[in-house]
Amino acid sequence: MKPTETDSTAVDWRGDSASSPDVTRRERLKETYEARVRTPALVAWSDWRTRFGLLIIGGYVLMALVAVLGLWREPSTSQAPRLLGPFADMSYPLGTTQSGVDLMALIIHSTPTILILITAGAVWATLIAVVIGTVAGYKGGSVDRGLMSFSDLVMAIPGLPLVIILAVTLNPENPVVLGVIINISYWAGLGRSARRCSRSARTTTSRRRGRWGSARRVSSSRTSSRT
Amino acid sequence: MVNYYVRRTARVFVTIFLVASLTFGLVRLLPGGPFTLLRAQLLRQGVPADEVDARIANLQNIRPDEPLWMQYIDYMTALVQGNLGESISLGEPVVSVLAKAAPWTVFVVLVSTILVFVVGIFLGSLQAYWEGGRFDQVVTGVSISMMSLPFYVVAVLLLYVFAYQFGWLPTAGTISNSVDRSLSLPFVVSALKHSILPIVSYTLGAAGGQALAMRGNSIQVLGNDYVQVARLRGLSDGRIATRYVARNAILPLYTGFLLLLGFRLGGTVILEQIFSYTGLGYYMITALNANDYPLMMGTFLVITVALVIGVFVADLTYSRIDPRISAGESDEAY
Repeated sequence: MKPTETDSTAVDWRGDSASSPDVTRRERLKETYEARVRTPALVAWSDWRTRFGLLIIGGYVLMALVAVLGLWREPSTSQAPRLLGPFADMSYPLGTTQSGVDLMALIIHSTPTILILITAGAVWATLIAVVIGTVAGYKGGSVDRGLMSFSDLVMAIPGLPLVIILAVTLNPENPVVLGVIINISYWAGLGRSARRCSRSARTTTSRRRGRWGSARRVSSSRTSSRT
Repeated sequence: MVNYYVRRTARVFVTIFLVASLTFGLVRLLPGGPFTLLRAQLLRQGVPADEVDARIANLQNIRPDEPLWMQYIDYMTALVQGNLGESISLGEPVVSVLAKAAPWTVFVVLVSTILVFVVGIFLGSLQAYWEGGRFDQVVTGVSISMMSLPFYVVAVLLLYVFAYQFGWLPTAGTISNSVDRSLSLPFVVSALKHSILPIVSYTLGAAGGQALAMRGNSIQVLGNDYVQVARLRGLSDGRIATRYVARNAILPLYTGFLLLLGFRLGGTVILEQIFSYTGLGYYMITALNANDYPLMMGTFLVITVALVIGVFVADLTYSRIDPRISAGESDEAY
């Protein structure tokens, strides 16, 4: 990409927000919303896979809502006849267990906890991966090598046994802690791709002489020569 | 060249050392100490306190009255000497339990992982070759469905159909009881019969994923200029397919090998439980249920060591596939 191209867009961007007085903050917000939220959402929505995925997530959220709002009975022993088959009695659609617990109630009332657990795990893995990956990719050099060696080490520990051992040792009750433990080493692989992205973004920006200017160009020329 | 191998070898030892330290830390961290319960139990039974301490020390190579760093050194020296303590539930040294279990796990994981790669690469390159055709569409569809089915679901289904309904294959164990545990034809046949279901259920889904990855990589490589140039130079299709396309398309798959192997070795915990296949994973769950901490930590260590060695071998062979690695041009081994 030629350096002049980005310069002109940068000027445009600034001119838009600062120098034209007739653009109110509200309109600017609306514009950002259009560009950042609505358009990507529309593009994503046009793909059936997004819709299908949202449908599945929506189903779980709905189940969680039913549990939170208390629309279904709480699970308890001998609340129903024992060992009903699924759909045998429509007030217990999924059947019952040996001790007479409604399976539907079990599923519905475990959903909110599971959602918290999954979210905690996902946030943990993404956060650590992005932080480590970006720092490694941006700094380069020995920081990069150190962080990547560390994530290699973490990757070299078998995940499931580690999770089992940690769960037995720490015996977590809180769904957030449990979610973090389940995803404890998941960031390692993710961090590598974050690093790759930040590295390629960095070499492009330094080539374009982007907003950060020349402050870090000396070290960047070294990293980009390595790639 | 030397640098690369030295670094990889160093990483093996550092990883094992760290994981060993982790198990030590966990044993110390365990709620109230894992042996507090056992100790109280033994004392209640009227066993003298000295003897109780000696027995516990024997179990995990830890003497509770020593300072922490002494315990740590004792623990690590014992590990180096191959002493993993004594299993509480089985009453045997952990090493001898695991020595019997490890070959089965390694066998299943190794065979199924090789199958995953062979099948995946083969299907994926054919798909890329006939991109958009009927074969491609069918295999993509099947691969996606297999991928979305977790291996344990496949395992339970296969077990139900082939072992319980048809009775063609055994439902549990590594070999049948009537067969001698010596290298003979009946032994091999029995071992194979017992391992077919675990291996197949462990291969199907992952192979689909690898096929899709291989397909994507191959299509990407096929679009490269150097492939066009090779065509223009009049090289044979076979040479282009193997030397130019396959070699470059396989590289990223090798990159994912580490994660895949770790996942698969860890996954044996579930797999072996389903098939009652007495490998490492099976003993890990056994130890878990029996609160058998020495066996649990020992299994964890052995699984880690197996994984680290697998990755090490992969690293060494990786430089054979991609000469840039051993030439030291790239830091990214995986």
